[in-house]
Amino acid sequence: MKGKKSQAVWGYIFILPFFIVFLIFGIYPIIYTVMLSFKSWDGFRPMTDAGLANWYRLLEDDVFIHTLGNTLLIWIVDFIPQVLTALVLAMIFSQMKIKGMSAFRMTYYLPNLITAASMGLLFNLLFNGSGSTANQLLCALGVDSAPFDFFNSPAFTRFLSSYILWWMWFGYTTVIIMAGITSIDPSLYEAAYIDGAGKMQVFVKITMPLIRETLIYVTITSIIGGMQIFDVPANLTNVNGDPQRAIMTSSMYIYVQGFNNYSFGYASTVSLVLFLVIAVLSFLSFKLMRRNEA
Amino acid sequence: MRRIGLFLLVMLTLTSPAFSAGASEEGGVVTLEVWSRGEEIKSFVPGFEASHPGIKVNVTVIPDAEMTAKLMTVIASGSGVPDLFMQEANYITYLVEAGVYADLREEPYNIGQYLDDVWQPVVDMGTDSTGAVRVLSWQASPGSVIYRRDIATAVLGTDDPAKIATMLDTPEEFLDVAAEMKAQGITMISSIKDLFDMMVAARTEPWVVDGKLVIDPVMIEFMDLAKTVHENGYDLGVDQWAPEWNAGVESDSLFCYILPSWGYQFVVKPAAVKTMGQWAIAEPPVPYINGGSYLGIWRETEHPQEAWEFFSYVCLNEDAQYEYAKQTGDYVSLKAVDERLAGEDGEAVLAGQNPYVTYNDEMSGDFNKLNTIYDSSLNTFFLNAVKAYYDGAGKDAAIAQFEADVRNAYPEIVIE
Repeated sequence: MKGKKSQAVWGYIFILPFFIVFLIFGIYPIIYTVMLSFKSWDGFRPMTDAGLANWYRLLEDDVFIHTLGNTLLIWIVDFIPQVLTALVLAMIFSQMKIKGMSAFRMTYYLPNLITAASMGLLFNLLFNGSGSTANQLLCALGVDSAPFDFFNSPAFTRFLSSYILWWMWFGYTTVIIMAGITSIDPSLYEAAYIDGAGKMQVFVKITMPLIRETLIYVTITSIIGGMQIFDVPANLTNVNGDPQRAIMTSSMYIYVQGFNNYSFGYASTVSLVLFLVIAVLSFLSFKLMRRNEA
Repeated sequence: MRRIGLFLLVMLTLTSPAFSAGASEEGGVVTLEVWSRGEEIKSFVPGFEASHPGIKVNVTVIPDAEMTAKLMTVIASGSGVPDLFMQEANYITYLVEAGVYADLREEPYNIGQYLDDVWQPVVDMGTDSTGAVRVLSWQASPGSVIYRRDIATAVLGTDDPAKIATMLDTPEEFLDVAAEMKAQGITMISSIKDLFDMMVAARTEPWVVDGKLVIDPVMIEFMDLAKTVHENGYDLGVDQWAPEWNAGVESDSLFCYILPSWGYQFVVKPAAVKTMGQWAIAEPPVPYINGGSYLGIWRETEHPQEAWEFFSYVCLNEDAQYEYAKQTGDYVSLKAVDERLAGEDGEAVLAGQNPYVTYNDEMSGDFNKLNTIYDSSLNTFFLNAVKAYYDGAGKDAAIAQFEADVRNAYPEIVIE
């Protein structure tokens, strides 16, 4: 018994570094953020008590609701096509024998490695201004109303943000879903084929139910990441999400309130609410996908 | 054990003196820590170290967007604050008013006796609302119209800077010239933002007076000017620093940039290869100043004397600024240096024109002191409202949007 106990102590010692780091860089900032949400602080002058002022301010803040809407919209328009594309690709890759499959897989994954700043520059060159590539192309094709003022259109910039996110992330999602598919017992497929099932039937009746856990993982991580989108829209236009805040996400709003307007108390309040929104959305999607299982 | 060793090694590195920013002293040599927003200040360091053997200067470059955040962290923690730090003109007023910089009028700095040598707008920018001088710059950034000589000659019949300046004197005349340019397939200006930076200087009152929002009539007029410019395609339709904005330098269809002296130094001059000798600089219809890096001394620096030596070398030493200007082509903050440079040879890019002559003329005029701590945000909000206006929102709706943005960002500002 004694030997076991002393071994357990070593176990704790080995996991200790993680918890120390987590306490300092994870828990402490969260507690500090809660504290800041009841303060008024510009970062330089002494903090003063604000009571519930920041929370009342949030209740009347249309801009925050607007940014939450932007974030959800950009995320949904990105996420649904992303999962569909990934499912189709994963099905093709796992059901059919394609030459150079790994080359395809790598190519689809590549956009994920490009930094958001490069993406911003790339899509600026393609669409920003009357001399941009897209406008030159449209003018050359004789489109009457060209050149278009793409970056002044809220709908277009929102769609473009979603498109870039889709383009960056569908390869990653494909890889994750394929990993889920490989973990399925091949004998299930064999049994299904012997019973005369078609490829589509096998995918819908066997693959899909068995990768539910993977899909839950993909959805929840995507919600968590998606509700915090910052770099792509901020680099596409600017941190204010121009034109007319069309692509200002909640994270960008927090940044602007903190570092542009120097309201750290209010920025903390907004981040706490965003944290709650993400928690609730993750919980709901988890429940929803689990319930279907029963 | 190796992991624990590695962990200890990392912790040791993180807590070692090399990671804390404040000045350090070793063998009688003081090392000053300077946080800079750009590389330019490094040009002063070799000369300074050579003439001040007891002082070393360590410059850390931090981008504008991160500077304030990084300063907040070190100032809040009270350790690792650099001896000197700077910020861009649009953001400096906030730091100046926040009281993080030493008051340079006091001992041991006594800056008062030198201030007459510096262009007044630079001093104004560095002075807080109580009259304390907190920061100065080694640059002054007078505005200008940087235009193409060949296009001017072809369309307007002259490339003379004085004549071009007269042709652009009022908004009406400006629009007439823009229409003439358009008829020849030439775009008048690069960006509405360029125009805005100039027009915002035409106000008589700052954005906020006694806690109340002030929308100067000039700004309302600007809304219509911008709408006309945009609807007629007199601009490239991009923001500053967009790739197409930069590419305008070598294009055959852009007439001018309305930019401060740094616009010539950083945008036009380095890119002008095909258009070498085809550029000229004219005084802008509205004299204005925009940009510049402002430097100040941390109020609690342990080495005020050494910090002052470096500060005054950069901002007040004529020989140092002259050397710097010769190296970089920048327009500097000491009057005597700019006057000396105005007597020298002109620039090849400008077909021999000496830009210092034009800029000195402009700097000698009067400028309204308009800076507030809100400027960078409020300018952005207003420009957004202008865009909403030319995209079809009514003028009242656009102004209401501006006011809503101001209310959202700064609930303390009273809007009547």
